[in-house]
Amino acid sequence: MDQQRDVMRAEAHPLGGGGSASSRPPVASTSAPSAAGFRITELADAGAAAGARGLARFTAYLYLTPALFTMTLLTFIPIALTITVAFTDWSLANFTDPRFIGLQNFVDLFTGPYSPVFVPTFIWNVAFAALAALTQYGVGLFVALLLNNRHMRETNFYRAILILPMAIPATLSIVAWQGLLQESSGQINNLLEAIANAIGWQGFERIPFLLDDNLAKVSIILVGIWFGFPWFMNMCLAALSSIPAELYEAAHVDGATLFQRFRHVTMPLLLSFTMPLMVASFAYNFTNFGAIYLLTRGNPVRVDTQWAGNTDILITVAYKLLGQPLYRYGLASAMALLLFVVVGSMALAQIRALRLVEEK
Amino acid sequence: MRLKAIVLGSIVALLAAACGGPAASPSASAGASATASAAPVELLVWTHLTGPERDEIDKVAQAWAKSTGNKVTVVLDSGDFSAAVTAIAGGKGPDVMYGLPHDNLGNFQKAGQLAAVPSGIIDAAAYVPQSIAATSYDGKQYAVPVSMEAIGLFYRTDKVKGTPPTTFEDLRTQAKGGLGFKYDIKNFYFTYGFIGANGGYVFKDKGNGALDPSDIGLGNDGAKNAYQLLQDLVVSDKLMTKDESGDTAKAAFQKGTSAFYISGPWDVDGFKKANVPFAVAKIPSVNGKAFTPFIGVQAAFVNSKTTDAKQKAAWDLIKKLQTDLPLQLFKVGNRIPAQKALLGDSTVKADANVAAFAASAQDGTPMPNIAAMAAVWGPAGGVLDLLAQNKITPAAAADKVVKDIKDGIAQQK
Repeated sequence: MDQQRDVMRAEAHPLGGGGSASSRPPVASTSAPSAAGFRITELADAGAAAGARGLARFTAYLYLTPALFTMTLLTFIPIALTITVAFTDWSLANFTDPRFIGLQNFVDLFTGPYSPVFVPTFIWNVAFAALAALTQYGVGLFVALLLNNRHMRETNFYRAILILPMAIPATLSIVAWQGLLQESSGQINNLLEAIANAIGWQGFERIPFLLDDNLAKVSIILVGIWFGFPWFMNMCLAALSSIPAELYEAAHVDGATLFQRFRHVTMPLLLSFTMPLMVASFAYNFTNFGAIYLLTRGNPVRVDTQWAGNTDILITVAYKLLGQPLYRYGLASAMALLLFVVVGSMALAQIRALRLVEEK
Repeated sequence: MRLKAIVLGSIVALLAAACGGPAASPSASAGASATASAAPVELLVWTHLTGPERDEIDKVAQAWAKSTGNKVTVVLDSGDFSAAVTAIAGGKGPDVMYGLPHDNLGNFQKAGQLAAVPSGIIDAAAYVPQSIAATSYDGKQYAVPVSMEAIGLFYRTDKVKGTPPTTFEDLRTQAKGGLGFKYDIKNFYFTYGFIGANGGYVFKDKGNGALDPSDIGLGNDGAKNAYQLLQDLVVSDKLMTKDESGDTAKAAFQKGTSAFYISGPWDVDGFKKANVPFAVAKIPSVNGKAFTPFIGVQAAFVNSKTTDAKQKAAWDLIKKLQTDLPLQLFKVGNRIPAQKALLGDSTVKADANVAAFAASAQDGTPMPNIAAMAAVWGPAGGVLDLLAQNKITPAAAADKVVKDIKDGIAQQK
């Protein structure tokens, strides 16, 4: 094991080009490989001057080039562009001659016709991200606990079935959900109506899943659970299987009940492993464009503003500012920048809080 | 007034058919020989017409290229219109845009990308007046109308006895009597006719197709009456559901659960393939006033940012396309020609459905072509949605839609 690792280290070393290459065979053949491996770097450091070290650094950057190039192209430049554009009046109308307008876009977002947009959208955005993360985690954990039963032989079969929502492309299944949840044509309502008819319940009214302001939000969370729980289920199953059996045995010997074992053995260990996943899930859902836009397009329509619907989150509002009728890239970028700051600081705060938990 | 216009129009059309038609081809070839003597150019045409229609365009364009010594490439553009605006602004756009829905011209016009139509390319009098209004700004022609479309009333011939209703009140009674009536009611495009019939309008027409975006007529008493009617159709008549969409209405018509349906020529082929027993009629009058559907015009324009030589050749190509293509587009794409002479053509007249759409179009209003129109669709669709769900009163809807549109126009910087 050790020998292999050291050979790999020698090979991976960018200095391999020079005299060190010839000294490699003896390294592999020596009986004390770790010492020999150490010697190579020593030799190389001693033999090569500062120039060689510069070359080494250069070679290192050469290896990093593909990654740096793609990251620059796909991450750094777009971020820099977004930040720049956020301070301009760039739009479709003045596509060729945008001007810098300072903080005007940010002022616009909170005043004038956009003033009713931000606060309700932000509140729902936080609620959505938190509820989505919590409910998906909760359901995933519950299913994982059920599946983590040594006496159940079909665990893998159930697991394969339960993982299916993850396997279907989300864009397709969200559109399917949108159809299922329709009030007058949706299959869920058809089913409920058939049941109501069968049991002779006269008072049944079809449920406006996507039309009612509050039900639409509930629907989004429920569909989110369907998408999100398989991942958490898998993670929890992995975490559960990593908990040493001795702990349970010890607890058993001490006379702990099933609940006590769960509360004092399973949960603490599980949480330390899965809490970071919750934070990641929160941040992911905070900007989960597809979950909202594909299901409701941000509707139901709000009476007090045309720029956001009842289920719009910040990212879908930003998207709407980009397109018809405004095509205001500057304004949309300002919104995106604001979103970046919000998500970033929230994630940071959560990570800080988690570290405190771990230190205890 | 309108009758006089129609009579006058048809006389002009007859004249155009008698002498304008044949006279057009020599002049076109004269123009062609003129450009042929100049250095040959390479034209790029983007079209929004798909499938067999694109092929027909290509046929005519290649014939023109052969006779003039120029080169033409016809490319299908299925992108967003804002993408085309940015492409032209970046110097990567087409020389000719062909078959673009005219209500999208506004963004190109705002960006100064539409070349004014030179005299001698089209004779405005030979076209349906709304199609000319649809393609001009402040009375000046900036694009050429190719064909047009408007919605009509589809009815099931197996359910509707005798002739289809000619008043909306009659239609409503029949529909409530069990026949059913559904259409995409929350879509402003289909619903505008009810608003127009009641005296509402989007932007005030100052004459010559010049629209005033500061005068919005979607909040006047006529519009309020229309909103009341639309709300009643859903809330009290229960003819349509509060989540009615084009798909659900179409499916109901196809199944026969609703015998009336409002839509456009694009649905004809589907119903024929599904063996639905149907016919199309002019949309009935509302309160004794004509239903005023939006007219959509497929327009062609020349990119003003391209070189003079290319622009000259491009207009020559458009002239050729205007002569040879519209009837072919009618045959392969059910497009109603915008030229009056072609409306009288025997093949067009023989199609009863197209005749009904054309009859509806006669009372229609061209969809506003100014960029401010983009600020109308969202708010108008929004209040129709709220009305259908009974979440807003017609009076509040009238106030909201006007305020939202004004806000939107002010924000279109």
